[in-house]
Amino acid sequence: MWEIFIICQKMLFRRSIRYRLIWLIVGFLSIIGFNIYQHFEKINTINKKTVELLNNDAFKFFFIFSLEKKDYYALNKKLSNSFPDHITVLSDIFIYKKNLYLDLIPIKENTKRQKALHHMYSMFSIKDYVNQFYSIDSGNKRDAFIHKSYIDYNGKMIATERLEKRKGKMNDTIRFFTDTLSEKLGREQKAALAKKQSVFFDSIRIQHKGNINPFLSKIEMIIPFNIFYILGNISNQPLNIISNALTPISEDQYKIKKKYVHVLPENEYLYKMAFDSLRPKYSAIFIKHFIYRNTDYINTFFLPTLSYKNDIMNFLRELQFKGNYLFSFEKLHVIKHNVDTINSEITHAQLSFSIIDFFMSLIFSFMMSFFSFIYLKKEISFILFYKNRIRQIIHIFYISPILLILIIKLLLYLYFFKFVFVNHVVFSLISSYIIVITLFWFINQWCFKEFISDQLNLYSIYKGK
Amino acid sequence: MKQASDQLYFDISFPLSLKFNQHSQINFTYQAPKLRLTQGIYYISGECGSGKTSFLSMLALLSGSIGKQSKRQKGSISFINKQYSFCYSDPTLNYYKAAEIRETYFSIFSQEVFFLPGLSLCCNYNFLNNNNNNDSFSDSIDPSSLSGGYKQSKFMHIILSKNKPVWFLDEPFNNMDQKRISEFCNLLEQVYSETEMIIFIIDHRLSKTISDHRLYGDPMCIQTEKVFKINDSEKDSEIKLFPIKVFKAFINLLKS
Repeated sequence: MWEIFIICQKMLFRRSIRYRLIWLIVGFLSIIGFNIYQHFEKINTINKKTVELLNNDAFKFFFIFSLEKKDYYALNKKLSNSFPDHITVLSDIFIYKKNLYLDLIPIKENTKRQKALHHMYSMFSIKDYVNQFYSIDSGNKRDAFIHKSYIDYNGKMIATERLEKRKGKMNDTIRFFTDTLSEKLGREQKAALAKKQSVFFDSIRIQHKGNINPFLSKIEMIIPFNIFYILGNISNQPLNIISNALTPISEDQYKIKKKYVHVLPENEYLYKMAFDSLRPKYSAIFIKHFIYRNTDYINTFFLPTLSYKNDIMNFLRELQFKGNYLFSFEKLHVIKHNVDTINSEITHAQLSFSIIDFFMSLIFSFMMSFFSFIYLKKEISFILFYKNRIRQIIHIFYISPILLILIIKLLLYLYFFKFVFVNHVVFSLISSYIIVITLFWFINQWCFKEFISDQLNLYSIYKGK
Repeated sequence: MKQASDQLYFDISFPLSLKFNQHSQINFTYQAPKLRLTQGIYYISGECGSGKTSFLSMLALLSGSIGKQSKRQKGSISFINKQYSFCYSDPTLNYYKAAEIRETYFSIFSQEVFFLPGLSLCCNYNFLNNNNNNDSFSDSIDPSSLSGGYKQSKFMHIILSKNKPVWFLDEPFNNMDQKRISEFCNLLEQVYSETEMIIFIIDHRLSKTISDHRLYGDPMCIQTEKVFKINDSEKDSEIKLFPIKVFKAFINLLKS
């Protein structure tokens, strides 16, 4: 076999035709290789987008508005019951005047709710902040420190200069609260208090710049619940403690020492005026796998397409249409659009790649086989005058092109091996290759049919007919 | 002529037909329905284009329908030797077995001298003869650099094997000088005396001499009819097979 293989290669690469053959091989293999390389790159880009979409916590949280308190509880119950495996309901979330009010709880337990909170803090990039928010005093476990109370919604501290400017106004407001709350209030005083409240909230609004998550753009600021605790307990605190606490110049100065048990949200402040004005409420729901990769490989032809929980999508849409205002309703459209776009890109890329790869491989194999027959028909005919080597010759010209294609595919696969997405491409590479080698078997037989037919005409070929 | 052996002969039943393509074919007919070509030398003569090479290529399993392809044809060829007998129209015979028969039994000297390109004379010899220890050829000689006569002589050396009982020599003396013809005749004489063989020689040089000479047997005249369907024309001709009765005289004639 090796002897005839070497002789065939010597004849094929003889001086008179070797450059034609080399350019044929280089040309076709370059096209095949470039197509595979380009597809890997394209799938890599799509995969990055996919991972970004899958990992974006903004697409896992939805805030559903309830007009009445009873609706709020009914909705939470319904959500928990309808999709117990998929939806985690995080209550006690407020959106008021474009500010989001969160309950900052240090994540210690590994429960479903705690994990959901973890994702929510990640979404607002305040995960680290939450852990710093409560620094337990090692000497006395009953005590905790609340500090850095003001952050923007991307987890950044508000600039000291800005806090300095705001400090004067806030101190005035707090003094006003202190004075007012300690007395019995009349109607005019309540109205004045309400006005001061709005001034207070307006004063802590800031403009944000920089790298922000666009899907959270409606929320301007995150304010921990604890601020209401502070406000609610202002009347019981000496004024100088509160004033000093809101002067965050140094680390020690902007800590407020409180009993740890009190820093958690409590019913106590639910009845305070400042807190009560935050109605209506929103239910925050967390859907961990709202968007997911398809694992139904048969129906998706092994394409790494995406899907979303269609039943939940429909449920949320119905809620919106029935009047439960979905704060993040536009996200449903964004998700649908992104998933459809990515799926379309994957399908298009895969289809064009597979077609080009399949036809180029087939044409290359055919050209190699046909080239060999055209230039070696006299030589093969001559060999068959004296030697019975037709099966070996047919196999040589069958194996050579498909081996070259395999090498190119293998090299590129190994080059991209480090990427996870190659596993999805491998199926199309292998399936295309298997179809090519199957079809090429018959094509190769057809190319050399002059030699493998019972209608002998070796002499005709030999004489150049 | 040596005593004809019953164990080495061709049986040809006529009419034979060789189809080149859809538009042309050549038909061979003989005065009798069958012709047996036993051991010996056959000198084949005929006009240019009379079908000598085509006839020989059919005998040598180079052209024509074999096996299942030949089921509709009336004529057929059988090759019988000591070990086996092969009928070319046997359904079990295919292109692969045909190549096996050629490799085992036939030495075919084609009209055109040919060497495998990109290989030296030595490589050509080694490959075609399964021999890796040949000292007759230098490993570096490129066949394309040789003269026509020398090429023919080397080609003869490479492809003719005394282990094969049937030789088909299609105009072997083209381009050869008298010295090389003489060398070839010596080889022929030596091989023919040692083994039982059938040798077919196509040649134009001696056709008139041989046909006039009484020492040679009566010619077997095979009528050939070339049919060209495109031009709707036919061309009749005749090829003659002279069985050589007196081998020595024939060799001397070739040498002269």
